[in-house]
Amino acid sequence: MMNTNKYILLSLLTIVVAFTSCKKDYDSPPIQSLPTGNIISIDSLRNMYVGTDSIIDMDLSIFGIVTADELSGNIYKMLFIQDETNAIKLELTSSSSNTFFIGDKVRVSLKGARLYAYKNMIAITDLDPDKKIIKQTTGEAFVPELVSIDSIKNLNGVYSKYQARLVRIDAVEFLCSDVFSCPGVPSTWADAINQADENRTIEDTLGNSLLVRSSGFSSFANQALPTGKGSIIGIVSQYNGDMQLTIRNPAEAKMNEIRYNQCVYLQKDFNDENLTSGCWTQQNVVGNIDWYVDDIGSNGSPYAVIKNYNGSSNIPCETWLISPNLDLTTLVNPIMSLRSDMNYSGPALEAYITTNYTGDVTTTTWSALPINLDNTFGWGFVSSGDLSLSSYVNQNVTIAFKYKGSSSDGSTWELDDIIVQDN
Amino acid sequence: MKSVKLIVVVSFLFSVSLKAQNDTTVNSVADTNFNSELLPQFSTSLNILDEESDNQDVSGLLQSSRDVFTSIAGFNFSAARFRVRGYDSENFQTLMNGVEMNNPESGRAIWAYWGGLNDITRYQESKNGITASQYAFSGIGGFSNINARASDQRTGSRVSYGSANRSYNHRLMFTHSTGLMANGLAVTVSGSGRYSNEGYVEGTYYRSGSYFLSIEKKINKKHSLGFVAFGAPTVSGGQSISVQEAYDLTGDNNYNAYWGYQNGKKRNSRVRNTHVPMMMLNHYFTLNEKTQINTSGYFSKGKNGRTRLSWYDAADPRPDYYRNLPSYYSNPGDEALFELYTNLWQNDVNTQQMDFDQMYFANTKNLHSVQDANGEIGNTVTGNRAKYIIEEERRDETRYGINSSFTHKQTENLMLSGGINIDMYKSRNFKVMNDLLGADYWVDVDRFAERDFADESAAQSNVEIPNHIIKEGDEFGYNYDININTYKGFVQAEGTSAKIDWFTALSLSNTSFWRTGNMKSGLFQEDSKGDSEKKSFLNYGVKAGAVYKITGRHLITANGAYITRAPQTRNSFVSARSRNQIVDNLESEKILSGDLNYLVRYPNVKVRLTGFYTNINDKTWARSFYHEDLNTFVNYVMTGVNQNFVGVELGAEVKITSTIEVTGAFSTGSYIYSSRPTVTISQDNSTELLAENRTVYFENYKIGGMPQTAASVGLKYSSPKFWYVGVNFNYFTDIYLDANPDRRTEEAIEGLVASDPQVDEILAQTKLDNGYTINAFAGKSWRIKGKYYLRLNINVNNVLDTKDLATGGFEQLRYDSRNVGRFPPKIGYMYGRTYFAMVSFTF
Repeated sequence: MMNTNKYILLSLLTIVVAFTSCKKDYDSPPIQSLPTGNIISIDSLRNMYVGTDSIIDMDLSIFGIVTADELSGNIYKMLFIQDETNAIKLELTSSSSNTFFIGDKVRVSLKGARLYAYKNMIAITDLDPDKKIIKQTTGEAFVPELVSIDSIKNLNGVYSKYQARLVRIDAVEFLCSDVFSCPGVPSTWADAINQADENRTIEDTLGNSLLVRSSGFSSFANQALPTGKGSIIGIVSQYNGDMQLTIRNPAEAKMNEIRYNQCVYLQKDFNDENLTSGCWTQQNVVGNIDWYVDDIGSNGSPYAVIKNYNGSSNIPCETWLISPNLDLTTLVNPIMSLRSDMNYSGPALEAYITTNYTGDVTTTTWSALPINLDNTFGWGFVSSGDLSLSSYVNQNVTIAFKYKGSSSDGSTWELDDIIVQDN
Repeated sequence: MKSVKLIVVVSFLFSVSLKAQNDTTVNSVADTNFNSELLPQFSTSLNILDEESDNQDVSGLLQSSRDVFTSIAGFNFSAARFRVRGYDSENFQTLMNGVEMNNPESGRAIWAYWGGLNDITRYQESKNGITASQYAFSGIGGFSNINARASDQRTGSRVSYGSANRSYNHRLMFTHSTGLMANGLAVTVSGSGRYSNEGYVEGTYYRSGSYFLSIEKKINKKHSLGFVAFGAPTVSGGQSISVQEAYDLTGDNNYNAYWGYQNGKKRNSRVRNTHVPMMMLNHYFTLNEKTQINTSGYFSKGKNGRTRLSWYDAADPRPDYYRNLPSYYSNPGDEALFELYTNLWQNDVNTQQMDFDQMYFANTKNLHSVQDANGEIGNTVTGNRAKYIIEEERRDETRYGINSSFTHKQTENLMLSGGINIDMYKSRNFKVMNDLLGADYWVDVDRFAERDFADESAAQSNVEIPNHIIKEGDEFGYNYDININTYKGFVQAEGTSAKIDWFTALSLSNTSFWRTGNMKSGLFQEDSKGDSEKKSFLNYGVKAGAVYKITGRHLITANGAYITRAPQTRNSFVSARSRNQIVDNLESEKILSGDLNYLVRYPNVKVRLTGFYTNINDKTWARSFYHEDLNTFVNYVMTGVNQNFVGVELGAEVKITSTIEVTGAFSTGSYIYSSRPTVTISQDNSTELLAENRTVYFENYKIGGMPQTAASVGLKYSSPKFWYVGVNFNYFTDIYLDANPDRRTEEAIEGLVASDPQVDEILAQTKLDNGYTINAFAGKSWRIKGKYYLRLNINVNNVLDTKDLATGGFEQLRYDSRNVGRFPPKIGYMYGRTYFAMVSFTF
């Protein structure tokens, strides 16, 4: 009997094993394969463009790494991808700003998309990013190619060979007219207020220049241009015969070295015969003696002047002349200079600087500004020489001049050509 | 002889698929086996995790059986959402005095209806698997019959107090039975209260009472009349299941997204409020020594309410909604927001949880005028229109019927039985405004329809009262009845002989159901009000089994069944809330099942080894969800869903000495989808068909949400001095996330090629980690003055306080085929260490 039981147990165990050992494969819908022949390089794709638009009707795919995305808003409904052979611009039917990012390796299914050129810029267009661009991996590094402005502008026929490529250009700076278009106010990358695109120009030491075009919708449109010299990274694009650079992120414009072409940052020369133009102000702490603009004895070159003598007596006063806020964050080595002239006895003019102007000179904490002022009686402007403000780099400063006079005396002080520039 | 032939034929028919009959025990589960107390209201199926369905249907079988496997499994596996043989609980029949208690709509028994009446429900007869039943035709899972007859209750009184830290903290229970008194009357009363201010899971609570009365009057030797009435009003705060990110952020795998602070007090947004009392009249008729006829008339009516948040013109306030989680900000450029949300999630309780104060604030700052309110031209209602509300979804059911069954001992070796049941069921489904959260009114419009349709009347939930102004207590939203009428009968024969016992049974039933719309909606003016088409299904079932007694100690049994079953109403309407439209090609489910068992029954050694094989074919599956690709809320109907269950069960109980007992239970199986179902997708807002005949490549995907393999080894010491102590080691594996069918379609991977990483991400099924737990229990009893008993017992589940054992979950139906991680799966974790302790006094 025990034997029978053993057999029963054994056969049951066999059944058990049979029941549980049949592991079955998961079902699967038919999965499309991608034959090797259907994968083409980006260079081959570009070469397919022979001067006329064409819809790609073959089931072709390209693989590439996203080199520019829509994150900063500098490009919209657009991506740039690049492989080891070349790069191309992808024009999308909808924004991919939540989907594709720099460093994503993607497959682009080209069937149904259009290969064309707009103003000589070759691109793939009519591409649905949700359906036709398929992310493979993320975080792929892509090192920009170091090129010169000259080689970018060197057209091979009508096309630059750098079209759509991620490049780095070293030792360039923005033109002074871009950097300081208004007194004391550096230009921004684009016009954020009117959401208008702006062209800026970089220049290398050889004088070659290249447009940097940024979108008024970009998140950095209202940021100041870097004022120094250095390297910039961006995507090359072409518009007819013009070459342009599209940056991905202002942090990639590392232009903070000393310029080879100095620009004046602040220049108050009073030549407009306006004491307060450019946001200069004055403030009476004691009395009501004011600064004013005059050009007596200076060959028609106006300057600012103050005196407490009304022709019969000295009037007690304390009057300040205050500069606009100077944002030194974009300057590498700011230096200041001015010209001054003093006559008649009285308290010396005092120069001050502060990083924390309250709007009221009496409540502001000032530091003495050691700029050389005229210290001999008699007419004739004296130049201060250069005073470095490098200890104030990356700060906002306000400069002020304090004039004092009493009922018994008071000098006449004249100021001109108050200049801050980056050295 | 005729019957013998029948069984031979039937066994031949099903010789491929055999199944076992198991230990049959009329069973008074000792309180040492406090499963019914301790089991959390755990879902026994994925559908429960899916918040749309009942989560109070803990299988009766697991709670009560004394079968060697099932009793161990019930005690040790339930916390891991284990399901016997992988079956949904609709396959387990629960009866009271022979009346089937499974809800006709869901097919499941809702144990909450008689929760807390453990002194009564302990007395139940349970059989598992395909088995003979003299009460009704039971399905493939088995049945439990609660004996509520007053004369059968143990005479005397019992009072007990239980302390626990799961859904409730305190339970007080009292029961008294007179036994059959000299005047022929027997009376049993029982009542209990269960309470927690906060359960194991933060923000949950439990307040429940229960009552039971059973009276029986023995009229004469032949006739006895009985009356039973019971109910269990229960109010409880719900527990969510969430995404892993929420668990990680809060450091709590039992994180509950459903509650939030209101005026510094915790408030749960998901309150279940249930009370469905039932009454029955029983006639016990002993015709003669051989024949017994029991007839019951029953009536049940009550409410099932579940509250939830709703909102209008406001952001989704659920803390774990994907846009409210840091991962929504994981794109480059969003680093600051990611950090902000992470920080808020970790430090701000009003981010982690719902922010009721904010909702109140928003509701009281939303002055708004409604023109032509309530459909009255020129009637302008001005006040704060609610942005956020708590609404209560109600399913109020009414059920009555008559049930009659007989047993007849034809010969010493042949027992015949049979019965009929007529059952009328109606549920009224509607929403009630539970709380306006400080606002003055709510307007009964559909925010999705308002977005999608220019025609203003389209958005009206009720076109007969356009711009319906809703105040607290008003019904709104939708309103429809589900009617289900069932007529069924069965016959059964059971025979015994020296070597072979056998049974065979046959059932026939007619189920008809229809929807009655009580509200005419703007979207479906033609199809929302009035009666739907009546669907009728004629179903049958046959089953048979045999026991071959090698010796009295060694038995082999085999059972087989073929059953057809009407589809569930919840899967039969494309969108029952909005319209009468019935799913096309609706079919009955077909169930084919068999098992083969080997039983060893020595006084000191009990073993059961079972192999089983089951197909449940032609299931229909209907859901509504937001479809990312189609960009709209859809009704998703899948037909032709087949499931296959193959596996083995092993249970063993060995007494090594008179005091030491070793137990073991092991179950492994392959529970899979075994067909390629067909899908129809229609827009929820309109009758527009978005997709037709879409194929789901679903073969061999695992049915998820439960461990498909579970094992337990236990050791118990029973002292002759009336105390015992024991420990169980349990192991769980093969736990899968239930798969989203739409991700397994050609359309889901359209545009992708084999080498794209998305293909595997979309198609692969996630397997969760293995895990183990240790449970311990102990007890002691004292006899006082020779007739009173004082018993004390305690049980500790998950002694090691393991909190990282995921026991189930499901892929969200909403998915992004290019970025599957955007809508991650929802996962449920097992509770950490919990206990239940009880002291009872019997007198």
